[in-house]
Amino acid sequence: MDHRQLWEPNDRPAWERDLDALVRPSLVMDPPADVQQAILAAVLQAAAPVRTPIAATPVPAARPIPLAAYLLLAAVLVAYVAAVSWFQGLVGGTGWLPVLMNQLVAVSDLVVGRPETAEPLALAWLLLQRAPWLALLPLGWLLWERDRAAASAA
Amino acid sequence: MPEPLSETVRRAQAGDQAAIAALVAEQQRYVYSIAMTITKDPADAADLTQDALIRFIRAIGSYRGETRLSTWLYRLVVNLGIDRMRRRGVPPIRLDDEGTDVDVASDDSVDDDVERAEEARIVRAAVSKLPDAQRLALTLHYFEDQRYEDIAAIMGVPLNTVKSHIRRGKERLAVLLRPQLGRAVPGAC
Repeated sequence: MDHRQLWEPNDRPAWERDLDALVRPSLVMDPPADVQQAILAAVLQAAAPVRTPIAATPVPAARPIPLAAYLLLAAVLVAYVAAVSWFQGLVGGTGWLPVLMNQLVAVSDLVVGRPETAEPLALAWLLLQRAPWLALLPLGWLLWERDRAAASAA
Repeated sequence: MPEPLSETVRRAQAGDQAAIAALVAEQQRYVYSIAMTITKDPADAADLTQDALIRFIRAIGSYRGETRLSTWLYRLVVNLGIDRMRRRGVPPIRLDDEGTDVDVASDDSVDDDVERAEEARIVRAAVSKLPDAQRLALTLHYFEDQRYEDIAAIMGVPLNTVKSHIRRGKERLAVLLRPQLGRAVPGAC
C-alpha cells in the first residue's frame, strides 16, 4: 500500500498520476553494488568503538646470564687459587692441595674466626653474625634458578 | 512529541554493528538519491553518501526522536551537500528560490536521441533541467513516506514553498516528458 495515500488526496489529474508513476522509480536509485559495500564498510569502521588495545607493556626480559659465564668465573677462581697454591707449594716444598686447604682455613679464620662452638645451629648463627653476606646466598640461588628458567624458556 | 525509537535505532545507538548495517542498508538508496540530486555526479554522490552516513551514525547516539529519523538524516545530507558544493565554488543552491524558468518549448524538450535511451535516463535528464530547489523537493517527494511537512523540515523552507516547488516541478517535468507520458498536460504550457 502506498503510504502517500494516507495524507495525499487521490484527486490528482491523470497526467500527474502518470508522471508520478514514470518519475518515482527513476529518481530513487541505489548506488552501485561496490559503492554500497564500500560505504557500509566505511560506516562500520567509523562506528566501531575506538578500542585502544591494551598492549601488554613489553617487560624487558631479564637477560639471563649464560651458564658458561658462571662456569668461566668458577674456572678462573679455581685456576687462580690453584695457581697460587701451586706456586706456594713449589716455593715451600709442599703439595698444592695442603696449601689450598691452609688458605681456605686462613680465609675462614679471617672472615669468621675460630668457631667457639661445634653445635650446628649455634655455629650457623655465629657464621651469620660474623659474615651477614652469607644470608644472601639463598637470594643468589634464586637468581640462579630464575636465569636457568629464563634460559630454558627462551 | 518525540516518536518512539525503533528497536533497530536503539541498538544502533548502543553501537550494535548489525543494527547499524541495517540502518545503512535501509537508508543509503535515499541518501544516495539526494546526493545525486545535489551533486549530479555519481562519484561525488557516493562520497557524499558515505560522509553523511558516517556523520549520521556517529551522531545517532544523540537522537531522541524529536523529528523523524529519516528527516534528520536527509536534512544532514542536504546541508552537507550544499556545503560541499559551496566549497567547490559552485553557485549556491537556493532552496527557497523557484529558480529561473527553463524554456520548455518543444525544441528544448528531451531530444530524440535521449528518447531512445532507457526510461530512467530520460527521466533523470529531464529532472536535471529543473532548478535546484524543485529538483530536490521532487526527489524527496518521490520517496515513499515523505510528507510535505517533512520535506519542508529537510529543506528548511516553509510548507507552502515546498508545495510550490513540487507543483511547478511536476508541471515542468510533464512538459519535458510529454513524449513519454503520451498525453497533453493541461495548464502546463
